[in-house]
Amino acid sequence: MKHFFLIVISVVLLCSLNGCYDYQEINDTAMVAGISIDKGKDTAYSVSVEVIQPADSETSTPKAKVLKEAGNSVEDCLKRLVNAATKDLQFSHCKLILFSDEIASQGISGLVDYFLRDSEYRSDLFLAVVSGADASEMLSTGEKESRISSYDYASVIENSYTETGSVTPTKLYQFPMNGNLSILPMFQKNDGQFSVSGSQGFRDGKKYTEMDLDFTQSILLVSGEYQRGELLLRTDDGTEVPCQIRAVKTKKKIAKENSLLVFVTIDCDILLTTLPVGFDISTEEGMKKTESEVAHLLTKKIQEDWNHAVKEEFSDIFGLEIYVYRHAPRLFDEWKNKKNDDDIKLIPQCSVELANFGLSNERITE
Amino acid sequence: MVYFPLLFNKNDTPNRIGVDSSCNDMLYFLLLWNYRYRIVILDFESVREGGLSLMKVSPKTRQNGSFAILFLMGANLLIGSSYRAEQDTWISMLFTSIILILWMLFLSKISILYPGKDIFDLLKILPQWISYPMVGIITFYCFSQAAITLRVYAGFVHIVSLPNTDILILLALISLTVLFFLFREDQMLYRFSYITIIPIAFIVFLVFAFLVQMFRVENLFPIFYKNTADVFYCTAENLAFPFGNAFLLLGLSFYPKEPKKERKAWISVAIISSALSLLVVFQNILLLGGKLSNTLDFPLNFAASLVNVGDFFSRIEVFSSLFFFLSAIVRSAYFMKLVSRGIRSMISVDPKPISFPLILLLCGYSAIAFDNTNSVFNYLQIFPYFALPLQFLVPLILFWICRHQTPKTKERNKDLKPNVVRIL
Repeated sequence: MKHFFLIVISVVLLCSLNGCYDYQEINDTAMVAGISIDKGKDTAYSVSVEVIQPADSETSTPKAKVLKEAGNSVEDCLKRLVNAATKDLQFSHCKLILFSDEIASQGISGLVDYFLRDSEYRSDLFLAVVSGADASEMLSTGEKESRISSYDYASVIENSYTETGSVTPTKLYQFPMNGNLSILPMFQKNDGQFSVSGSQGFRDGKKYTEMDLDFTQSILLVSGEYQRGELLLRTDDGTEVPCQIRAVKTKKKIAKENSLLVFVTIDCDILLTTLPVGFDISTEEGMKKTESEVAHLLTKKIQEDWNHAVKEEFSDIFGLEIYVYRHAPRLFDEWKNKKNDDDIKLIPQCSVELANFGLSNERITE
Repeated sequence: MVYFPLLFNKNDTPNRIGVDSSCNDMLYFLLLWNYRYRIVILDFESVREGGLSLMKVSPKTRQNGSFAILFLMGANLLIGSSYRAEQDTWISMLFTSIILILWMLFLSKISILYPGKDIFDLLKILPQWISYPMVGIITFYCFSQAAITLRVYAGFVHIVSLPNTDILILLALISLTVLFFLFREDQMLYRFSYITIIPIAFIVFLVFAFLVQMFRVENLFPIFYKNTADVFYCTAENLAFPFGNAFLLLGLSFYPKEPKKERKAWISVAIISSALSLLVVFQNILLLGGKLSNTLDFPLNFAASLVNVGDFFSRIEVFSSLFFFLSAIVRSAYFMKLVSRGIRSMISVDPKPISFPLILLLCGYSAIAFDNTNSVFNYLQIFPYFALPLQFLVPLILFWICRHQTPKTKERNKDLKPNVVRIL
């Protein structure tokens, strides 16, 4: 009897092996590479998705197709998009979410929260803002070139941080939702092409300032998140000093006098990409003078950017308040309680070491 | 004297064989079938008390230890500790660990005094009018804990992997696995834990190692500022769930005849499980920050999803969640075993025939009692208020009563003494 039952169970199991519960054919699924969220004409949102179309043959490359739908919520738009695509949208390979300027000003906390809670989305996808154009336009560019533009722009964001040090690559899980600050990379259209043009600062999930690439570099240098990149310094007479930062070490120290002071010490290894007129590196003395001059220019740049931020009332984007709160909470509370017009003061102190100038002690060109 | 054929593992020392009333005929025959024969001479009185068939293999320290660790911190892995204290959660976890070690020291004392006696056996020392309701309460407590574990893990699979599958199907599948363990001897569950804990520990360390470069030390600051109450409340929450369930481990002997080793084993379990939990808490705070960790339902799984080593070693969360899921089965199965023991203790019936209805009840209860996974997490917020007194006061009171028995109560509770078979 026991054997009979075992045989019956085995046969039933064998029959069910060729079936698959909840299966989905690959042809019935569409991989989404990127999402853009704009404000709709008559609706709250207009959502576009860049869908990867599989290659037709071994020799051809995968193409991208952009689908767009409007609705009163992102969820609503995505459901409409499924109908439009006549396929199930798979978001596990999505690498980029773009917000239009209008949506960024309106606030993106709720949207970030939505994507973060849905397990279908990767929490390490990049967030960015498109200024001066519809966010969906940025996805459309890939269609013409048979390229997946979302992946390209995700790489641009990553490289802009690691190679040029000009943006903060904020990932989905890094976007704070509880009143903290955040910086997202900003894309703008120039000559029909989208490129990183700076950053946007977010407070309470809403955009409150725009910064160019130079300014973003100052923020990254002060916050200690700068890795390496190109920096353009200017002397008082307007001479440009292009330099390449190889390594940075940022230290901060808090002091209290009449107001709260944060001393930021930035030690850089710098390579002068072209030697400006008036800079001498042929002697040890000249080298030291050049180093101190570059350090002075860097300090001046950071101080000017800070002063500008104070004037425009967005100096908190440098993250000094959060730093003081974290490392000297009592001082922070004292300062907060009797806050008048006395802001936290940034005192930058830069020191520079010129790199790769040991090859020749003679001036190569006059 | 009875000459009784019994089988042992090759490495088992015969003087560690114990009689346990939880075993039955089926287990005995299973043992006969599985192990090779040895002739053992048993003390007749002990055998008659427990019944010839009530034999049990001696405790295997590593297996039991693995089980205890998995039972204590298994839920912490997936559900995560309470992050109410945000960046200071690690401090509260440190406090929890210290309290847990002291508490396990106390529980080891009970275990040394009454080896093999679980909480239901110990409750018999109380007068019947109070012991019955207490057994009932603890039985229901175990049942609800099994339901919570089942619901959370089924919810996890539903959210992360199978969103289109009805949660009832997932509940039923896990319940069936639990049922399998209910029909097997305890040691099989311990052995299963031993096999499972190695990959779990490996995954926890692997995820930590891969995420180190993404850690932000800033996330730990400010330390212990303005949220003292939250730190202590968080400690209480972590104690209640899951560490407070340590009292249910009574009856799990490591070295019944060697008090020093027994104490050491209990403390080792506490240290390992709290160290692993602390590691996970540190990782989550350093990576995600206190605020986000507090918001997320499954922070470790979330952290694991961020592991990406050169696009080659990624999506580790799929692999890790499988093993965390196994720890849920261990927890649920043990809770249900305790429910069976509680029922037997109350109405003296063999719980095996009612195992299946019990599992159906569990499945139904976990589906009905909680509307969704979020409601389970909401329930866990009020859980410490009623769980902590039960988890800590009951063992303390029982221990005090056991130590201060009058000759009259000693006579009444003569069953409550170490019940170890003497091997000649």
